[in-house]
Amino acid sequence: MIPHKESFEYLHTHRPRSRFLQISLTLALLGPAISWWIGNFSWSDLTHQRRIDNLRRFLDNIRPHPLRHQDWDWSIAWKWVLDFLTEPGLNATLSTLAISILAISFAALWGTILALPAAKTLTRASPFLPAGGSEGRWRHGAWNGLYLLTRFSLALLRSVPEYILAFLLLAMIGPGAWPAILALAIHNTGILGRLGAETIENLPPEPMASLRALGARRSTIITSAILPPALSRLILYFSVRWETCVREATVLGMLGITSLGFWISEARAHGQYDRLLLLVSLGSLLVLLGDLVSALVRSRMRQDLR
Amino acid sequence: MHALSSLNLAIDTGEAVAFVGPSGSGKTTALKLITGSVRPSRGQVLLYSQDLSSHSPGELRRLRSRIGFIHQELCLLPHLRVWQNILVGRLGRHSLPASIRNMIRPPRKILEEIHHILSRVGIGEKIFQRTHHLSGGQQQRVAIARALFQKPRILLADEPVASVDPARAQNTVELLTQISREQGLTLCMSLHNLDLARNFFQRLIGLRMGRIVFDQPASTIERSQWENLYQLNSPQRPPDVP
Amino acid sequence: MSLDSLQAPPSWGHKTTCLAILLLAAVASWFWLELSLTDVVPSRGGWLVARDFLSRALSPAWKSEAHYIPPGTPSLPWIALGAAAQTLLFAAAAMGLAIPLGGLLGFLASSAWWSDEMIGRRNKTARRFRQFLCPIIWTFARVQIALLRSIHEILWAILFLAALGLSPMAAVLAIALPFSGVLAKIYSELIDEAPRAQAHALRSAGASTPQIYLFGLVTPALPDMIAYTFYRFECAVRSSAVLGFFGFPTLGLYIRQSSASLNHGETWTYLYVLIATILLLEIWSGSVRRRLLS
Repeated sequence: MIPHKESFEYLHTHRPRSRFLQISLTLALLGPAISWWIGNFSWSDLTHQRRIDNLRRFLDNIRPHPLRHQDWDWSIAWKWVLDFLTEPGLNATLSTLAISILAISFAALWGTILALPAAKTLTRASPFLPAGGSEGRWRHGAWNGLYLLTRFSLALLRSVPEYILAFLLLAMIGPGAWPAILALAIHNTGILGRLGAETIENLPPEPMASLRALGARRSTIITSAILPPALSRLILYFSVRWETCVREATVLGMLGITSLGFWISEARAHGQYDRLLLLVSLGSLLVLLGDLVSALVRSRMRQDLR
Repeated sequence: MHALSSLNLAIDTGEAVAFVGPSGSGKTTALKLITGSVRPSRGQVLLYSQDLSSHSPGELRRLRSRIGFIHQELCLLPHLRVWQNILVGRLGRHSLPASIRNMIRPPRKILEEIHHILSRVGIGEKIFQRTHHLSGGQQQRVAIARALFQKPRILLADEPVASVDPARAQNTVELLTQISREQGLTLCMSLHNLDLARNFFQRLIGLRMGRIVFDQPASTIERSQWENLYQLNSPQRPPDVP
Repeated sequence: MSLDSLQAPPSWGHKTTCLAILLLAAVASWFWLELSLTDVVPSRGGWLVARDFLSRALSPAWKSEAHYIPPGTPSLPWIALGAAAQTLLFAAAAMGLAIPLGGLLGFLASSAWWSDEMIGRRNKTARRFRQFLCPIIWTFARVQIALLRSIHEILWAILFLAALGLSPMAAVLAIALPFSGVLAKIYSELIDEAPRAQAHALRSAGASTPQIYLFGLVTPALPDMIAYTFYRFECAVRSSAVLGFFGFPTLGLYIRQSSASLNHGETWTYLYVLIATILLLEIWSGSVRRRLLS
């Protein structure tokens, strides 16, 4: 007997199910469990005698250098911190900050420029208008090609991690701040380009359509009806990405670039774990400061978006 | 500030009562007093001749699980399926692990029961849909079905037909009164619309600024009393004057 | 001009200020770092490296380019795929730690669970609890999140390497800790932003407090939380690849080794495997997100 269309049997067997989502979520739940099972990870590794010896040595070495063979004295510790800040600390922190700012500036510029051809609503033979028959097929193809090409290049730009990009660039342009700046700028251009394109695609199309109907050129639409309303959200994204730029700039120094990371790898190489810890905390402070500034910018931009 | 003052009334089991009055007159507070989610600063609320304030939190939860509350803003989860939203109604009677299991893999018996209730409110075929794909009217029926799934003894509805077109309002009120009559439920509803209130309820309670203005059988309500309740001679007229 | 003034939204001010500050800061940074454009142009040696490296972009190696290949070594594509699998393994293991920890911290750091409407002012103990204990727990969670988040995973890795030596657990913990901080931050924001209506419905239907928390506070935010977690997994894979530079057996290790011995073809092979892995993950997590939020 064929069940009735509204019977429970029929509805139950024909209930909408997304196999893809089910499999994906199951995989997401099982994946970590499987990786712990087949991977070489175990908590008992941490309680191994060798590890414990290592940890003890590390904890001994954390004690500030001048205090290693005497009782704790705040004045000596404080002097040690100040000496450290004047010598490499403050300089390196400022350099880290400068690298992140330059990187986000380049990324913001290029990301915004590349977001335009990556926005589907704009990259069409007749943007914001119902598809007309007047344009030839090859023109549609060319615009579509431009869109796909930009999207793909953006994906490529962001797919290589900053650290690996900086590593490769360092071999080519040599030490200095440029490899770090370029690596961060390239990666973030890829990310900001995509976010910008999505922002443009999500703009309400009516103002653009009416401008286009009045005969405005693409460039006029971009400068008058796309960038002004999209800018709040773009700046919001800039500030979010700048946060990560600060984090990354700290680390990129480990490749031999003049940021905090350079001194971190120095300290590590010489086993100066006291300095290492101080440098890491300095980096952490810088990141927290960056978070604060970016949160401030974002709250302003959210006001604008409301 | 008191939302309600000198409110003295008794509602019998199986009665259908409508609270009427302008916004801010204390209708919602009156309904919330019954569930115990608002406590009176003075006086007491007796439910089945027991003082609500004497109940322990556990007892209060058990009482609430038998009171179906239909919220004005529906309180549904848009991304969940319809059956999941309805299952929420009976969570109070499940343990935490059982409620998690039921939300992910419900026993067939429960699904069939949900389907039965959904069919009663006229949207049985929507059981496996995502809730936000339903129209506003259908979503309201989901909220009603959720309250019914609690197997309630009391049904409370807070302005279920505010900001709803007249045809749908009529349908909703009719459905609720019909079901409560069928199942012998006590029904309390807050309303704005005199015609609906008169057509479907035996007893109307007029509230104004937290006080009872009238409490009498629906058939005896005069239009003048209604106009007095809403102060229709004042410049601010409510939008839905019958 | 007239079009511009018509279309300009009312609050142009904040945006211009932000952009102007960014520009000023960029100029200042330029001088602080004593940059010059000529430095971007590679030196003669740099050109040679760049030429050798870039010329292999379209012809990645299929066979190992090392001078001595120990017998029994699998062929290059297999090594690369194995490295990619290890990369995924480290990332997944780290997420396995980061998600529960981030979930717990994120819930405690949200202001929803101890708001008036959730705990209420029923009796004296509840009020006390709300006044003293809740703010302490909340602040503790917030501080914890800030500390975990503010240290980069590579710096965590260096600390763990120094403290423990080269152990796979060092990499897993190094990714798991900052990621749990980031997840917790986003989770707490999502929980606070999600509509609270369902919680009220649950309360009036007699649900217990854990049930209200789970189905009233967390469930409304769950689709967004899952979507974000998928995105973070992508990031974890990137980080796990990079940690290879510090000796863990992920793709970064192979990229560093082959690049150091100037086997550029091999480097490109590993790079392409990395790019493909990340692009595939991005497509996967993108479509999961779209379906979840549709």
